Amino acid sequence: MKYIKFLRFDLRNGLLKKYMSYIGIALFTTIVFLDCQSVCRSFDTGFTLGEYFMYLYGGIKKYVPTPGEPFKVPYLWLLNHLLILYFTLNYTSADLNGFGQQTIYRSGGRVTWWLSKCSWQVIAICMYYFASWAVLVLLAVASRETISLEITQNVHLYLDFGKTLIPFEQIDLSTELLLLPLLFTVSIGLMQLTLSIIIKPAFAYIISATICIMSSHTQSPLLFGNYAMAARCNKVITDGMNATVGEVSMITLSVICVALGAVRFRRYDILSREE
Amino acid sequence: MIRNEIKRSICSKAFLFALVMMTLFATLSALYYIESWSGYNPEELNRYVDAEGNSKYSPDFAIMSLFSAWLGGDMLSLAYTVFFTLIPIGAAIPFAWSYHVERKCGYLKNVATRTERKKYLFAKTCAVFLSGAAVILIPYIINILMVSAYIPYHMPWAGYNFFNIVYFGTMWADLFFTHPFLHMFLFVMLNTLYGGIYALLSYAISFYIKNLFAILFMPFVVTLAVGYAENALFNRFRSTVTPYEIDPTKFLHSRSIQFFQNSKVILFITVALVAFSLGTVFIKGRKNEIY
Amino acid sequence: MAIIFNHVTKKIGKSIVIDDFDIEIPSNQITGFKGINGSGKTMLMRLIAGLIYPTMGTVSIDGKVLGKDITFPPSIGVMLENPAFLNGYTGYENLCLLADIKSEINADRIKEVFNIVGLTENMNKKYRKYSLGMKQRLGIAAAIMEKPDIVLLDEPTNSLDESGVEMVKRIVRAEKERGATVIISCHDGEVLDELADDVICIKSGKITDRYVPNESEV
Repeated sequence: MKYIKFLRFDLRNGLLKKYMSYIGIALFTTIVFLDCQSVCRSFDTGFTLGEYFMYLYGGIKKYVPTPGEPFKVPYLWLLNHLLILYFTLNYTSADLNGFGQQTIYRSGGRVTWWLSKCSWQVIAICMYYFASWAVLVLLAVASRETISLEITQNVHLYLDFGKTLIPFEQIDLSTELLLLPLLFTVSIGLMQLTLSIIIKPAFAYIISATICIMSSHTQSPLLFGNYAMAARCNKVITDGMNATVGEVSMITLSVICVALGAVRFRRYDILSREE
Repeated sequence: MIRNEIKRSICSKAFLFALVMMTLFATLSALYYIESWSGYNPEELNRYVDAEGNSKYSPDFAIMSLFSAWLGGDMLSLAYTVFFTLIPIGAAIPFAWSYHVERKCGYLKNVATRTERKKYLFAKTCAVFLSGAAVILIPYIINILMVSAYIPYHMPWAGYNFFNIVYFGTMWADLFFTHPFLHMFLFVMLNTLYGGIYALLSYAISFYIKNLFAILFMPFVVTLAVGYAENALFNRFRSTVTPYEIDPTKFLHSRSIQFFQNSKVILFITVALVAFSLGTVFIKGRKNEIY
Repeated sequence: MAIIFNHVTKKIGKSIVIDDFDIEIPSNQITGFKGINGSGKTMLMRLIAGLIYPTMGTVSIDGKVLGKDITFPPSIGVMLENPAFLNGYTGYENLCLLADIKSEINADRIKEVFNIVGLTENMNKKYRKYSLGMKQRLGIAAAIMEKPDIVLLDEPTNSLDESGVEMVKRIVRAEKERGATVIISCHDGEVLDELADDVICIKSGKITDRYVPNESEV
């Protein structure tokens, strides 16, 4: 019961009251939508919602270091994940240094507080994604674009998949396209939350950003960001990352972070620390 | 006061952390090329170079040169990508947050009653700039020392521009082929300057926003947004305009990673950022009330 | 609720903030912690509240070891350092949020507590508009509203005017009469000697003296 009370408090103060971050997400989605629309119109073609998601979450094809071909950072993919991780960065440490000190001893248990924060983190990230998708659907309806997750051949006009692309008729990405980026942000968000009680939140964010940048550069099963890029998925390219392995890995990482955080927090000294 | 502020900025755990972080990536970049090009016998490459740095046997060796292996010439490794992308954060960590923290904890009230605001702001500006610049300069020096210990220099050859990606007409391109050491030095100085500028930007943001994470990370996020906007704008207007690099984390690289580096554009951006930062500090900062 | 420190040492980093603290604080009495700034009074209170755990030794409440048998004391009210509340809520709403966790008290009790600390007129003002003294009073209200068995008040007279100091004295005596164990730290030695049944003097995390105030007069 106390967990529910904590969670309700966290959702109200850490989510509903943070309307500015939703405005930020809405603005970001709108700009990317208009950009995608502009690109498609320059090729004289319409686009589906599925192609928009590929544009936003697709990432970049596998980079093979080749002289004369420098690595180009996938800014859009990075911005999507790092913006959400930034919006969810401050809440937990601010609570622990402030009002949370009043609530935590009333709860009778530390793990209750920790679990509610983990739940808040997951729900917050999901809410940001849902808000983004909701804005997108509204924009698509307003622009009379096709509301469908189908991916057509138009997508390779603006997303370079490289030479190992599988035939279009065989591409079926609907679940992975939306689930994997969300799972990645959730798992990195939980990792960031756990790290913020071990080291300071600012350093936790730097580690998250470094992992995202490394994932974009190097295709490796240990860099989970790879699973969050459709352009590196084995359902799009022949030598891609296995989506199922990605889902299992990210869920495992999430569970490990929550468990590790609970163990750490049980003996954590709750002091008023400087930021 | 300046001495105290500089001492506080350099002798701190935050400075050490930022320095270690940036040096780590600079070192990894060096190791990538040392491992690729120097092989197990570092002296082997030197056999093909005469005293003036000209290749004896084959101009192909112009590719495997110090001028392509140092951090500013690295275009391939993961380390260079992370280093350049994290410059805005690395520069801000040492001391850019100090004004915010001093205002929040009340230290600013003690200072305000003991010295002129202008002197305090000037001292802090110097310290912030120097710490941000140092965090970028030192890794560069370490990288160049490491690479030059294993990989000899060869004069760049324009025939290999498909590899060098130094296009004629871009900023300091002529220097790359005539005075490559000067070219290297200028880019190191430019990077050092921007280390200071990014630190000043974060410092200036603290006069508008009272959130530590916004102060530290907003320049980083905005730079990513600029990188995205640059691509989007080029896609939209590619048939009508020549794309010039406006993303600092790309024009700080000595190669044209994506678009052309134009000295006038870079100068304009530099002046604009410095004007915004210093203007905020010395105009808004002097008027800010202290609660 | 008897509180027992059994050879407690606490280190923060390399500093020893509490050094071999071995003492029993009896229940249903007012115990004062006296010491200069940085002597360890607040750290002791954090140890009793279960917010931090000893590096060595144990702290037990009614025979149950904190951090082993129980995570936090079952019934405790705490006011430590600068009390932290939510800026966007009124004083009343802040206390309602806290009261909702255990759901042991109702709105009437919250209003009663506002009356006790003299904040009735400012109950519906946003916390960010509270003065330092008002914030202190709200912190005290939060500590006593649920009628806990242990009340910890760290420098409760800070930022309070004369009437505020008298209010604190009344509250402390009333809590003792109710049957609570009250632990109070105060810079003002006179206030401590007036209120406390037992005063423990602390310096650098160690006990330097323990006495019953006004014993000689008795």
